[in-house]
Amino acid sequence: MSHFRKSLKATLKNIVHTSSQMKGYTLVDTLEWIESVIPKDLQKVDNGRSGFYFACADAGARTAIEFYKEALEKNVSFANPRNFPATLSNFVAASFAQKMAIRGPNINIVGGEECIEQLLLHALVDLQKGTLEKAIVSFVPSFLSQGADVGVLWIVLSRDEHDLSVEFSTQTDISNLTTVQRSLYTLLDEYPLKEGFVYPLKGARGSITFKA
Amino acid sequence: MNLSSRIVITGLGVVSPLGNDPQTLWKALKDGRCAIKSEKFLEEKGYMIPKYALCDTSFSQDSQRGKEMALYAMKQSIAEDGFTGELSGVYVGTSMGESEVFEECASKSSGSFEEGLANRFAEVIRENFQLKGPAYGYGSACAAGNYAIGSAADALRLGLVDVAFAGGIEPLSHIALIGFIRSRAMASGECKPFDKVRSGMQIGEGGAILRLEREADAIQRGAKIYAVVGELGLSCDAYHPTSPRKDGSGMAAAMEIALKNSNLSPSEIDWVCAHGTATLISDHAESKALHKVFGSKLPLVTGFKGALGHTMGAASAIEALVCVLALQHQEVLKTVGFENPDEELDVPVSCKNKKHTLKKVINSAYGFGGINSCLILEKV
Repeated sequence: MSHFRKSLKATLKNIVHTSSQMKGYTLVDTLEWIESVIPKDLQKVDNGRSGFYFACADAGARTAIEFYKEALEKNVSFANPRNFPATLSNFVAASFAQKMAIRGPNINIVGGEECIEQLLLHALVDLQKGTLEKAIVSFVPSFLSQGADVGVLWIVLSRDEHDLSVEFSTQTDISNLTTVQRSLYTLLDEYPLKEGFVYPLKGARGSITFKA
Repeated sequence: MNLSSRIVITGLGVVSPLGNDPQTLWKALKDGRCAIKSEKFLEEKGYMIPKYALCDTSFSQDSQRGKEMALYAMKQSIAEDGFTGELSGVYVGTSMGESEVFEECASKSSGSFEEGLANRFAEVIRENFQLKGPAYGYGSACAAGNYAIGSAADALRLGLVDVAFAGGIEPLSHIALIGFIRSRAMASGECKPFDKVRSGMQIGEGGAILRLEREADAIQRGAKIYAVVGELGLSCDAYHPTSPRKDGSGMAAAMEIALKNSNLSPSEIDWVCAHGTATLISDHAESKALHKVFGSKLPLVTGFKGALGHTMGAASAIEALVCVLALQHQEVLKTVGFENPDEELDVPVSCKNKKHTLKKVINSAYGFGGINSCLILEKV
């Protein structure tokens, strides 16, 4: 495991917030929503060395309930299977990857804001291992807003030896991660999220350092 | 903190359709038993294929099945010494979560589904064992166990936790049964991984939890060490919601990344515990991937889903545990259901139990959404 260094570093390219209306919970509704919230500059990102890291508290849950309800109404032997893939909690993460042509790691964690730190950690570890050049971290708080906008937080990290600006200390203490989490929330407080707004973060490349 | 720490497995817990402890499971697999059978309650509900590989959950206290499985497997993982560590993280994979909660919500057209969410297994373990570290639920379809184990190993290497409990849990799911039957992914007869006349999968339930520690810590406290956790290779097909890339390139990429990050050559792999769902497309793609990575020198390959059914999010955790047992016993077990070699696949499928030198093995798991995972496990 010699590829780990004392710290994990990467360049924070940007933080973007997008949102779009979620019409319903079918597979087609979900795919339409996915297509509408991908930022323009991330629509085709892959050069074979990108990863996608996603978290949401309830991805797939409402679809699972609706799928089973329909099956009970129609008889289990005649249920329409078309929505079944979207009942799995990783459907959204995998569909984002398909739309964005991202063929690296595809990680889906189920949970709330506390998962952002774990996503960042996964992204940084994979960048550090050298198998990736870009990591796209994406967080949706909840899909329970049928008919309303469902927002996505996007955080893009790149591997860049010359401009290292997002840093996890990896010594002994989990409080390091808590610090990262706090820093991120402070950042989000400072820049209220607006649809489609790109946060330049003090310069073109790596202007924010999360340090323990 | 040494970031090049080796990570080892020091505790094993399992709930499976062929036994609720590692020794019973190993013996049943060695005996070539198959847990998949027709269930009367499924027939009565009108399922066209009323088959499932169910666990004996008599340990359950009528609580939600998946959470009971998680706690039962967790208890086993610390049974030898009761050690849970000062700062312990929990990493549990599943495809959907506690399906019965969603099914109840659908039946009643009301109710809260939070208890069904995929992160609840990890949280319930943390709560019940009063652990102080993080608890994460990995919703990574049928590869979820590998994701959870790999993530736990990384957290240990980085010094974020002192002990990690990792695995996968997947309880009985009517939603999955309907979905797979109606998607025509299920075999009406036997589940026959890599067989020429394979016609699909059968599903099952179960779970496994492994205790992971840094090797130096485990040695220092005198823990029994079962195996070493190597690298996890991940990739995504980015191709189709349910089908893998036919050329197996995504699956191969996951294996190649695991090997590269471990500084291993393919020739150093002694055995592959395959995904082997027994569907025409998936087994075909997996064979392509194996040929791409290993060339003409394929190691022996075993698939356990003919014996255990496809336990989805738990499958790769249970199979990782079987890999650990194989490393301990230095034995490759047969593939239950496999009888007729498929010349087109040309994979050396193990068709009988065989003593075999095992130093390094790969545990492969792939899932809907084209997610691919390969975890390397090593003999101590």
